[in-house]
Amino acid sequence: MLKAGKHLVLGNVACAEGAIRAGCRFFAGYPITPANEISHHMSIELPKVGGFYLQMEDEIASISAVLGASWAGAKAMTATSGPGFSLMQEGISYAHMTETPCVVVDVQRSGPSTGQATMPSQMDVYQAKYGAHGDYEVVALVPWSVQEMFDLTIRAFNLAEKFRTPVLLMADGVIGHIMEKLVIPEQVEIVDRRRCSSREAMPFGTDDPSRVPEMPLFGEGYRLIVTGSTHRESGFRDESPKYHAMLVKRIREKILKAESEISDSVGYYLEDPKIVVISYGATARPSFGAVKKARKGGLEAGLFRLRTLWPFPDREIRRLAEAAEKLIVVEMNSGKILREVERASRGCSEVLSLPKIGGVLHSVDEIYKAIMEAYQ
Amino acid sequence: MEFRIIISGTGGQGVLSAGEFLSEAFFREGYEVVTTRSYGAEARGGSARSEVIVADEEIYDLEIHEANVIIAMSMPAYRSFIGRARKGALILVEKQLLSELTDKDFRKDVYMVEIPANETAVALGNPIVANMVFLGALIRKIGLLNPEKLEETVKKLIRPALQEINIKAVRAGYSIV
Repeated sequence: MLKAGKHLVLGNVACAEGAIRAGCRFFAGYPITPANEISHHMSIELPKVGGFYLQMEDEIASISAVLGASWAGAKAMTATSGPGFSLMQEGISYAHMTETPCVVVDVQRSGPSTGQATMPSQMDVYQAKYGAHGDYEVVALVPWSVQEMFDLTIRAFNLAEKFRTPVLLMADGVIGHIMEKLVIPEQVEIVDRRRCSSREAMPFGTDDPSRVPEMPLFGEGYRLIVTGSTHRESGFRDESPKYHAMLVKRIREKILKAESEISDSVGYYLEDPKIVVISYGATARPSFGAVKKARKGGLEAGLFRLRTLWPFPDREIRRLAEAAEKLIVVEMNSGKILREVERASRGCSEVLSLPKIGGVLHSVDEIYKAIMEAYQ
Repeated sequence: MEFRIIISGTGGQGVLSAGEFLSEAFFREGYEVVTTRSYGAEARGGSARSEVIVADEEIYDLEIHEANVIIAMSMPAYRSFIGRARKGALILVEKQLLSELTDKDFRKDVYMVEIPANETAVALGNPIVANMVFLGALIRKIGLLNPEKLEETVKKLIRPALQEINIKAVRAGYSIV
């Protein structure tokens, strides 16, 4: 582990360092560019802190091992990219249904399929939301710097533990693969799952307003059954309409009711905006450079940067759409979050798209030019 | 102030480690640094490159669309990246490549400096330190770092048995331009 202080490190290394500090003691994964440095760093560092690193035979086994480890009491994580993320979807759905805390990192590369395997993208943002089958609510964080690879990995674990849910860190190949400054604090805030307080506690039901049940662990003497099929509060299967509706409603509501706590975004120069650039992850960096340049030239431009993709900040986008004349969505795909912004802005302002595919990041000048054109 | 530097060559020439040494040295000097190691199929024996952006304020452009410094250690690397040089850019090119360059390889709007890096490294006893000769020449030309800072980084990142020859290579590069 790196010492507290200033370091020049790779984004993926910062992610692994954050995970270990958050208390992660189990990692299972399968090699894939551009996520490999996370696995590599975990394989070296986890054994030193009493943790376990497993290289599995594929991504389906990886997510399954992570879920098993979580039920044995470990904070557990895996890291992958596009094709591997697809394979993990069934396991992620199982994690939602069984309310298993875990962290899945997707360092996004350019697809479809093996596409431009070594080049970055932000193409999996909808897969994060809709990739797994069934009714559930997703928590997905998105870092724009090496520092946030560290900070948001810690937050991902804290949210997973607090809400007993899988949390996705939707990084991209740019941020995973750049080296830049990381400041590691002496101490970080850590949240641990609520463990069962008594033998009578129900592992899949609660009266608590948070709707998050206490979590028993295998090996502690509980008579515990964990199933992806619809179950009663006790864990026993009951696929009746009543219990299915109760269960799905609760696992959705525990996230929906906490939306204001989970949802996280940052605004820059939004006091009097005519043009608002909306972006996330790596593309928010040149977006910020472009907005600063526009401000220097006297243009009323601002930046709204998402740090959580899901839950989506509908209300904030609506407010921006009411205040601004035009919104420009900058992203490294063919235009995805664009549709969310169009939906949330409800026609209150014009929504423009500045997509980019091909494994290349926007430059400051490209975005600046789009701001200028929108301004005229 | 901002320098956008592409270090390019053939896999095995120490291109990525040169990028790491240079970035770490700038970082220790207090500059903002963003470094990208690009690898694809070319990581296996083809051309390799490291991109280092160094600035005295926060960096927003994370990729180098136009470079103002290019180190070219091999012919394929030179031909791949010369087109990405900004007008007036500093190009440090391996001296042994010059005889292979044809008229259409040259650009008149850049500042080209030939570096006898291979010859110097061989004279020092190991051709592998040609990358450090280039770094020595680079820091002399752009003037952001003194050689002691780079030597301090070499001591941090390289195992003791190889420190001396790498430090000599930095000094040799610093004095030949």
